Amino acid sequence: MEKKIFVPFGRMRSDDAAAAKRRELAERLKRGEDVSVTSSGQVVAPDDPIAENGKTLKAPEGKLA
Amino acid sequence: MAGFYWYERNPELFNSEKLAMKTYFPNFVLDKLDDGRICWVGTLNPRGKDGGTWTLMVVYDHNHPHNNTYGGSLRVYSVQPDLNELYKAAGSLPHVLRDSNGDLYMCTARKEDIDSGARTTSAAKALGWAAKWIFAVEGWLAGEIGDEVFEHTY
Repeated sequence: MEKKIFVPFGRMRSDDAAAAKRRELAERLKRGEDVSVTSSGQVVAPDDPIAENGKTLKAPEGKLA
Repeated sequence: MAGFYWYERNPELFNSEKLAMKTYFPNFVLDKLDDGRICWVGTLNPRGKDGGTWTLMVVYDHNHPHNNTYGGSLRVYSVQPDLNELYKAAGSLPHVLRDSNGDLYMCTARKEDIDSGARTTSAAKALGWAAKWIFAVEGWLAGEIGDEVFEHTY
């Protein structure tokens, strides 16, 4: 009997998760919502565990010119 | 006697700049240019493992703080990658300005967003804008963000 394993689409592709996170952050920026910047310069959502655990700068309001 | 440079004339502001950078971007190192301007040099990695590590230089104008120009009295240059080379390779770049030497730097903020009075825009704040700039531009270079990046102000 042939054995089959069902893998939900995308579950094994970490690249997808990373791309989804980037899209989410890009949308936040586009909407002018808050983002935080870690000491390494990484842009993260304010509720991201990285932001909550470390010292982060709330990216300043204002617009790129 | 008050010094010629803003950081000599206003040690309180200079100390608050150093404190903000130590707090938020401890990997940045203070340096002095041959013309007396001071700057911070260090790295940012806005997309984490999905993006590049950029070596940036934030340079204070002699007459810091002011908001006479886009980006105010702080200019954020990218040492690596070189924006001039990146501009040539990509054919263009959004949100950049040229200095008097013809070198490109990031146009991080509009004049109206720059503080120059009792509250001044700090190097840490400029780096926060720079992180947003790099995030958007890396997205554009990767094709994740379209040419609307040129018009959108983020």
